[in-house]
Amino acid sequence: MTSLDQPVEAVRPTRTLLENVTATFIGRPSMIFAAVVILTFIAIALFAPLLAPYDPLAQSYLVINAYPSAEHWLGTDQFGRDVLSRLIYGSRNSMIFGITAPIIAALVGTTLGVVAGYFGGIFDRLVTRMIDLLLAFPDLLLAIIISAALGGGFWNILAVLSIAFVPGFARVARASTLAVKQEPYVEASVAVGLRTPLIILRHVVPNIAAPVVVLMTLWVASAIRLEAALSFLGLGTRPPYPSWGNIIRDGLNNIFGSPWPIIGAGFAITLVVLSFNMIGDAVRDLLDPEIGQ
Amino acid sequence: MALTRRRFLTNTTAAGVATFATLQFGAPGAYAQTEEGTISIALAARAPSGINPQQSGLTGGDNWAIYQVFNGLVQSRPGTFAVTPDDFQPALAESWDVSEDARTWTYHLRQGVQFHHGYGEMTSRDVMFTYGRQIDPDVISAGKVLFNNIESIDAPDDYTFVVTLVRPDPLFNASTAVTLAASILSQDAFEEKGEDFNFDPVGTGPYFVESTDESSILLTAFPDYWDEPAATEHVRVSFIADTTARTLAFASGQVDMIEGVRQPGWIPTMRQRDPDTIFDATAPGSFNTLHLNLEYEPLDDIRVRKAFRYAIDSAQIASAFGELSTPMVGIIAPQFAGSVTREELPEELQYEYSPEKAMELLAEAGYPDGITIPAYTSQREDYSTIMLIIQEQLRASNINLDLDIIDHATMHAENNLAKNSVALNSSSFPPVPTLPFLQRLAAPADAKPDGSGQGNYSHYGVAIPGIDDLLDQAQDEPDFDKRIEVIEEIERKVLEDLPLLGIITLSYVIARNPRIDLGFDVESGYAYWPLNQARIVS
Repeated sequence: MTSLDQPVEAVRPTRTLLENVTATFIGRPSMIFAAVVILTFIAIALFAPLLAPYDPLAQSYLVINAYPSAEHWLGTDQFGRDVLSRLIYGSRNSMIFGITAPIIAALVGTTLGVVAGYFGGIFDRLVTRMIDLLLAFPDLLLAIIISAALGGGFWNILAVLSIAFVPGFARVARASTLAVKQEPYVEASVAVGLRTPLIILRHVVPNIAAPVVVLMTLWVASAIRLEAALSFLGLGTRPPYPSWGNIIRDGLNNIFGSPWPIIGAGFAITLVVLSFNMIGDAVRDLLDPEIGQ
Repeated sequence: MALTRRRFLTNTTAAGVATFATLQFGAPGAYAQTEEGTISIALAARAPSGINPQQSGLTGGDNWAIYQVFNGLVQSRPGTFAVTPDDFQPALAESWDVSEDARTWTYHLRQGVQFHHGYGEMTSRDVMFTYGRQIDPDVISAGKVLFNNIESIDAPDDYTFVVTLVRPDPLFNASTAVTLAASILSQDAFEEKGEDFNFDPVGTGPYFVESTDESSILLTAFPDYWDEPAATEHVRVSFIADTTARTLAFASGQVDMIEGVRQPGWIPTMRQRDPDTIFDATAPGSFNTLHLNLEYEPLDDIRVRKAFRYAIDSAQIASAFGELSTPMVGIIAPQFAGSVTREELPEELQYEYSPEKAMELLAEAGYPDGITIPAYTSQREDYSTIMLIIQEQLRASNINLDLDIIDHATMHAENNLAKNSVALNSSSFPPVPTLPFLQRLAAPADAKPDGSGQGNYSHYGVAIPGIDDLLDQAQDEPDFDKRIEVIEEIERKVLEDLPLLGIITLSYVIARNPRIDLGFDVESGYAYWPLNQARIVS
């Protein structure tokens, strides 16, 4: 007979997490590509002032709509601004919003979802109705409504993007919490008298982390896309400061004069969004036990 | 094959690149054949809002149609502004007399002019009806402000129409009779149709309205036109707000003429695509002026306003637009009488571009670290381009313009509620020197938060004493030359107080397929011109 004092031999998975990570990322060249792209763009965003050949706001009417040349690698726009420099500075907005907004939304949404799922009752009903209400709007529409009310500017965009993603996280977290709550180890914790916050932090949150993390990685791409869409519509980053979305917006009226802003920003958005999606898929493969094993 | 997210993204990327390559590097569009016997013109507006000259909220596109469907009492030579009283040509009035004191104008109407759709002959009854609506305070109609000076109207017989003015106006033909708002309506048709008149109008013009839909107005030549019948059977006025779509429609030959895109580099790009394209441009075109809101801190400080003036380089903005633009010194375009030139101004009113002086003035006013001012402007390309250049120029003088770029109609609505601190305005004015001041700087035109005001977004004459006395003096002056002297004094006063800054003039431009011959050259005039002599030549 085994004593309770002695540790129970845990059932170990057939592969360790490290082995899984290695298999997921190293085994696929596309993952290496995606990781390299993302790291490159993060570096570009961080070192923008060192990398950009010109002031992204400086106008020059001597070189309107210039073709790519040795001086201007991606040409200039209708104000004679250097397109490459604008793209480099524009990456800062995309990266900051793309990475920060899903993290904020995950923190807020998961907290709401876990609390609602664990305690149930009136708070649960309130949160669920709120989620249903917000989920009834597609994220872009929701973002447009909120930003029309709040206006543009850095903090407002961050708030808009975060709010747009909160209901998704809250719903996933709540559903997972409901499932985890029924597990014997949670019942056991309650039975031995563990305090509720401790149960949530030690037993619920770690066990619902996988879907939340997967969602977060996938939504980095969405956040970048959404920020670009808002800026394109004139609700995001304010001119003259560049973001990939408003570079496309500015370029659209001038597509025959200089297509390079649109080509450049479009290419950058596609590349980054594609890479984040690839990583997101890989993280899902890694963390989802049903697919991973 | 299952469509995964990755495959979807890859495919859409490839499709996007392919579309772009075709768009950009495809051969310049050969002019495709359009509808037989139809000249088509596409304007930068979303949809027709009406073809009734007295309706409010008309767009530039509507004006084009209205101008073909209606006539006024007088007209200017096609493609020009009538500058002096002798420049006007007869239209529905065959001749006119003006009294010595320039207060009584008698028009002798042309006989036998027919309205469209069998509504009979145009007589002084219709003219009385048209002008009567404009001077009746109970009738809501567009352009009422142009008729403010009318004391009474009279029709002694069927073919005589007499206007008596409150104040002398040697330029009544230019300030009122020639404007679109004074186009003669058929009283019978108007009363019979009511609201339907807006889209089924009856005028005396060379074309009548055949049909309208959400995006175009089809006009057909009126066989009983009082002058030579129109040279081409149909004119289609299309509405394509998107600049890229409009440019593509022109490049592919679907439309013969399009409203140009007034942004730097557009004309050179179009010439590169097809060197034969003709550009018809009005000079001076629109007056682009910048309102500084005198009730908005810190713009209430004259030193800050002077800093703005020193920080903005109008010549550089004009050079960005190339041949379409000239820099402005005062509020009246340099091409028109009443304008002042920099050389004839005293040195302190010349405001030679100088960021150093601007920063000095800001420091004096208590802003050594510069200022930040929120403002908004329209997303229409001429507005947004000018404001983005101004924003960049101001930045060099430590003035940070926190600029929102919003929908064009919304901008106008918000401006009318007196919400903007720095409002750019683009308006076309005829060579009537009092008009820009009456509309933009007179106390009665003050913009009010309840929306009941008009275009004085600076609150000049309300927040600080303005030019209202001088304007009265100018309006009471029957002699044209003496009137101009007073106007020049007003210009100097505005340069001292700086409630409104002249930035640039910007031509209205239409790109035309060389297969269309207009029948005249466009030199100046309003942002629309007659198409009754236009013909397809190849």
